[in-house]
Amino acid sequence: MMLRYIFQRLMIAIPTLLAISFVVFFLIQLPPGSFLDAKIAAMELEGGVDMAEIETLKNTYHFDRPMIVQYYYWITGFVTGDMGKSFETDVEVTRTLAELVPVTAAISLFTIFFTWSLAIPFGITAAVKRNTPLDYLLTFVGLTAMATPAFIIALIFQVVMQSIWPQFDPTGLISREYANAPWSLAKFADLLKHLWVPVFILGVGGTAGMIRILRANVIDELKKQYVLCARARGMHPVKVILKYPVRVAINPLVSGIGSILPSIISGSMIISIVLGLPTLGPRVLQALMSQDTYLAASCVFIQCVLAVVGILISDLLLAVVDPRIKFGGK
Amino acid sequence: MTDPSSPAVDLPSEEKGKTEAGVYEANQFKLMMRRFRKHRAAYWCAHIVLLLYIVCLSCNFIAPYDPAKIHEDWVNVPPQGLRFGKVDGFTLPRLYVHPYDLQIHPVTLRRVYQVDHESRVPLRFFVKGRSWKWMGIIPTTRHLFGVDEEAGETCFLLGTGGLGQDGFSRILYGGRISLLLGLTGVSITFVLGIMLGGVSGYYGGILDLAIQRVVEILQSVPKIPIWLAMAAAIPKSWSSLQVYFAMTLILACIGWTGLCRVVRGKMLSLREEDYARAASLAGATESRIIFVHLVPNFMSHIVASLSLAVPGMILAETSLSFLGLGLRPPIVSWGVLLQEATVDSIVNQTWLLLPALAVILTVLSMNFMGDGLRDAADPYAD
Amino acid sequence: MSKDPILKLENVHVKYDTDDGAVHAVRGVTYDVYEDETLAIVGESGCGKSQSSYAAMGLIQPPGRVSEGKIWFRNKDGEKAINLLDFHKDSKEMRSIRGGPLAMIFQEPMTALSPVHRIGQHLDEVLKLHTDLDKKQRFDRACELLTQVGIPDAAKRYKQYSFEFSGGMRQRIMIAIALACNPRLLIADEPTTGLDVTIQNQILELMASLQEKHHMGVVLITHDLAVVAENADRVAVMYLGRIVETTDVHTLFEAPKHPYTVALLKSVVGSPLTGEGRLQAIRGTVPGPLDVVPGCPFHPRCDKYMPGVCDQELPTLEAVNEKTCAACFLYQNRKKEEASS
Ligand SMILES: Nc1ncnc2c1ncn2[C@@H]1O[C@H](COP(=O)(O)OP(=O)(O)OP(=O)(O)O)[C@@H](O)[C@H]1O
Ligand code: SF4
Ligand SMILES: [Mg+2]
Repeated sequence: MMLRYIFQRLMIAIPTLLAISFVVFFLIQLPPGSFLDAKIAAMELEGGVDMAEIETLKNTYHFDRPMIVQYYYWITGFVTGDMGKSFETDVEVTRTLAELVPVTAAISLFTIFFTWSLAIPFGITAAVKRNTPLDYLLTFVGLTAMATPAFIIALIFQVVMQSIWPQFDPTGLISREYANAPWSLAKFADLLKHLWVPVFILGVGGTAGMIRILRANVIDELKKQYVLCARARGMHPVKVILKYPVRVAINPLVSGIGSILPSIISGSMIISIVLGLPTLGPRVLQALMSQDTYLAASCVFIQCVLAVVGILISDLLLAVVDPRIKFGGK
Repeated sequence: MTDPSSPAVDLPSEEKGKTEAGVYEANQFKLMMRRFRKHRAAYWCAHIVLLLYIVCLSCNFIAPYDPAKIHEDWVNVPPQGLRFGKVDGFTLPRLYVHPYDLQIHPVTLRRVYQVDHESRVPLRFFVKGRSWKWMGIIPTTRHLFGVDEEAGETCFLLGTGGLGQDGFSRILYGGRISLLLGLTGVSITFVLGIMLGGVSGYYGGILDLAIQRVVEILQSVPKIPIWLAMAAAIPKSWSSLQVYFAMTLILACIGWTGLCRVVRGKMLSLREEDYARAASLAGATESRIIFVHLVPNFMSHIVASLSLAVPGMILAETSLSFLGLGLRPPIVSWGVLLQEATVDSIVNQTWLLLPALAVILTVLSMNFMGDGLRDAADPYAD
Repeated sequence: MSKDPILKLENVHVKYDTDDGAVHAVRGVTYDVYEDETLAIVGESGCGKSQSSYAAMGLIQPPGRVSEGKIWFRNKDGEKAINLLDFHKDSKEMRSIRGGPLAMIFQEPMTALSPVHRIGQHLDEVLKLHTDLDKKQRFDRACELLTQVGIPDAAKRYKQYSFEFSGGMRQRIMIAIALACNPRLLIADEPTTGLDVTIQNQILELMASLQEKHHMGVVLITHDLAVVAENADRVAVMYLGRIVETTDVHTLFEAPKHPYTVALLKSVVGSPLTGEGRLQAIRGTVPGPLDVVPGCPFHPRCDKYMPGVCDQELPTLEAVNEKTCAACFLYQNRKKEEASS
């Protein structure tokens, strides 16, 4: 039943994904000029255009063919697992991914964990104590955090850290002495020492948002009759709230995990740039700007695939946590 | 709405339908406004938002300086605090600022601005300055306030930046761009979302399928690449005004999908309801049914969700411009102003963060207002 | 029938502190219920029937509170009655009474069960809270209860969710939950509203048979006078948060005393007072919860209104004869006149 449903969904997703892949490729090529033009221009600046190199580039990446052909080469490569190389650095796209994705994913996962572990208790508290000073405080702090652009939080954080803890460098993820060292326990510890900064900064806005959502959901559920009925059975009110309304209100969050999937890969571009984090986000941005098509298109398209898969996962999870929803039912 | 028993569309019954729809809508809105007024915080935040728009839109009049004007001698000046008291040469007490003494630090050779507590520079009202056009037509040189620039007086209420441009004036001019961008962007979103969502929900079939596929695709592609590709496609030769409108359009093109889905969902459930069928029996055209009979039904919801979308647009603009992916100087927007804010500059010149304060205030009040509107739009909320 | 009431409400008041002022939802309710007896509470919508029973259960939620009164509850025969208001509403004592010896069935069966929990979990929960049964025993008891309330195939049904049940079925489940721990007193708040007539009768018969078996006292809240006629032993008529008349069920229909009761009976099909088959709606409307009516709260709508008496003072609930108490000056004045002449 469930497997059949997943299979059906994936079959529907394939044409959508093909369309998306084309849109992505087209979008990346949309800006005027191409990587080759930029390369030639740069070579001219340095004096002397190496025609041979240009030729090889042209041949490997089919720059002289129409876009649709280039697209064909890229997508056929992609589905067979060959994502090509970066034009710029000549490094395999898969290698870049293997290098950057673990760190990116670590930050994202820790952030999700941070967000949830704060948002759930606070959201429930705000709902239960609604219209009390505590709720107003949480609401105000939450809305302010949501109203502050993440890069401003990052900036202020850095400035504050500089004054209270000058030895600590909040940027980057790995201290200089470990930068080129192979992975070891010490290096991992060093990573953890830095990791909390982006996790905290990224988590602040997300937590605030989630508190708002959870609060609204729990309040909606608290009004329902079954809460009163549970209390009439003699259950402790706190237990009632945790067992019934929270259980229902948390469903959308649980199923929301799916929509987080693409961001696990990309991370937050802006925070990564401000804090100089070695995540995929800034790398993709750079690739987009220099029209490093294979790298950019592959990364963006992976994100799109994850988004589509994420929606599927969300739907499946929702069906798992909420018995009212059946597979395939709308 | 329209009387289903009326045989054909004769003019009077058309007219009647219209007024009835109008009254119904007005009542719904009036009810919403009444509930909204009860929402104290949201109501006051609505006033703040209104004030922000008024002040920023009349920046030509209120701002004492041209935002682009460079004061070579007054680079990175701290804010000159506004004070109230007696000023030499005037009988009545008035607003004044203390002027700065410019000194060059003997060792570091850096400029040091020392507050001269002895002298007082009075603020003058309705002074003459740079020329601008009132309502874009009537030329004038009057400004709300200023100082005697001929005499070398200055009033940088919120300090100056690295080029010696007046922070206060720039925040006002930047606000005009940022606030309008949010508003126009959302208006375009609104039109696109309602039209496509309405058509999709009302007609269904192939059209619905096609529109929903487009929505799906747009929603799965990450925002930054779309943004970047479209922004990069803007010809370099375009004027800053053209770039600005192109940016707005791009933001709207990315943002309409959510509203489209909401409208479609509402449309689907409303389409089957009796009065839509009654209207179509009475011979109203389909577009009329959509926009005269169906849309007003969930207008209040849409207004509420749009008021929550404006701050999103403003935040998006700010972040993108900060990254250098959005608006660029010489356009002044809050995001552009924040490009000057770096860790090093903030440590020394905290006032460079003031545009962020403007952003936070705006977004915060808009969110409060939007929250209140949303609650007010929901007839079942208590 | 034992002499002592199981539940006795004495002058109970419930107030809600809202932004618009204090809403006085219940303004002094007094009634008692005995073993094996069904007390029906009738009255217009919003008169405080549900609120007064919530007060008894300790379920009034802030901003509401029980501002005055006493609620006596006797857990066992011959035992001393305890005042439930002496305990905090969520104290251990209250929780052990609520759902155990004092159970309630709610107005809306459609939403009374959690949508994401199996119905068995609801039953299991109440058994776990009030009995010492182990898991297996609880399951057996739950199935027994489901069978008892007329749900076939209990073991399978135990694992299903509430949306898989019809409204009538859900109400049966609610009854099963309420009866799980053999309550002394069952408050049934409009247990059959929204169900069709056949199901209504089944549910009421079920309740009656279970009452007979367990010797429960039942408080039956309803709008439906036909239901009252068939199921109740005694009746309390409520108006605007007060009890205006209590009497036994025969007297209610044969010789109603309070003008409101009379009007209420006239507004119902098939009552002997309706005359030539015409229904009479009660004149005027119920005043808002914030309006203050001086004197007898019914006087703006009363046919027997006596100017100068009824709008001055609040009539108290007093015995009219050995069967009936009424809060109306018509009966108290007669006494007064007798006294003065
Ligand atoms: N949360 C609340 N806040 C303010 N007032 C309330 C609240 N809950 C109930 N009330 C007031 O209590 C009064 C009595 O309500 P109650 O539910 O007891 O009526 P009822 O007699 O059970 O009516 P129905 O027959 O419709 O069930 C209502 O008129 C309402 O004004
Ligand atoms: S006291 Fe007076 S007004 Fe009230 S019910 Fe009796 S007769 Fe009517
Ligand atoms: Mg009720």
